[in-house]
Amino acid sequence: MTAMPIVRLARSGDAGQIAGMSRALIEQGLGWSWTRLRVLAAIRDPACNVAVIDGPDGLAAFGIMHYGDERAHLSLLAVHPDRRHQKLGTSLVGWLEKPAEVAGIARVRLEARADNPGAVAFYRKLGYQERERVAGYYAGSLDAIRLEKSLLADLGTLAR
Amino acid sequence: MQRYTEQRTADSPDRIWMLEHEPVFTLGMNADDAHVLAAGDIPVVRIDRGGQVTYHGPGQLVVYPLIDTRRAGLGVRPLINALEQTVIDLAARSGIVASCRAGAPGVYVGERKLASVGLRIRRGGSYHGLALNVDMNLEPFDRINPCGYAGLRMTQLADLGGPREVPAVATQFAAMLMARLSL
Repeated sequence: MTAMPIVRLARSGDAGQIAGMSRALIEQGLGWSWTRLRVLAAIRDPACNVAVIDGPDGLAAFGIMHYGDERAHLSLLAVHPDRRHQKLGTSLVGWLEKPAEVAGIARVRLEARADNPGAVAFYRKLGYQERERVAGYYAGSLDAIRLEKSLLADLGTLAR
Repeated sequence: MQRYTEQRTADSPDRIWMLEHEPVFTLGMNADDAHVLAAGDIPVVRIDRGGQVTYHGPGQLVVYPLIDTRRAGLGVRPLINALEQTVIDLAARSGIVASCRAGAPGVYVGERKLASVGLRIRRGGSYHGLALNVDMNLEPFDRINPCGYAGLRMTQLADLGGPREVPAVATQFAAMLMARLSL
């Protein structure tokens, strides 16, 4: 049996590595918007959770979610290539969704690169549904697929 | 509390309501009513907090923090953590070792749940909050799958050697929570 990965909140010292992973694994070919300072701001932002899973030689995965009153936004999620297919991404998304559920936040939104069908398929498996294609979302040059997941009970099936 | 939250301004004071409810099952916004197994004579009410189904009744301390989270610089997770950690610290004063669980909100003692948490934040104002079992009839929890988990057992401070009086627990809890939140 595989042990559940341990998710923890990121510390200031993780910011550089998270930014590096974002540049290498998410923002490749797009310039670099999630710099160390931006990640650091997210770590310090009380409306954000920056969560990480440690690996033997540094971070194995990280995710950043922002919580609004009605909607949460998964801003970034990445898993180190050597640690894929071990449910790390699934664990991180579930961990980040949990505070939203407790706080009565209705839905979670995210964008995935349109040139990354594997990411879109991953989020669909987690219950996210495609909403729209956003032209030029990334650096004005690359489209995004916007997906959303409702955290609310389906009242249509409950009204009886 | 919804009205207070809707009408509050940037100058409105933060408030922490401490109360006991008459017996009632409440379904949060994520709740499937299949988790209400046999409500019997206890009313079931769907409400606008996060979370699943739970029971409230006499002998349980309910804490509603009505806080301007933006003014307080307080996010969702820090507020949830503050509520849970206050329960843990309060239980520790009676020698009770309580803890949080990854992926399962609330506070637990061993396999049993001591306190449940479910919030709502609108226009930056928090409402709903936390329910801490002090000295109550736990039987109604057998009529539901608490928090959506079949077979989850509940516990309470009185059964663990802790305090039995809700007003005394409320006084302690309020002071500890305000200190933790720097209010």
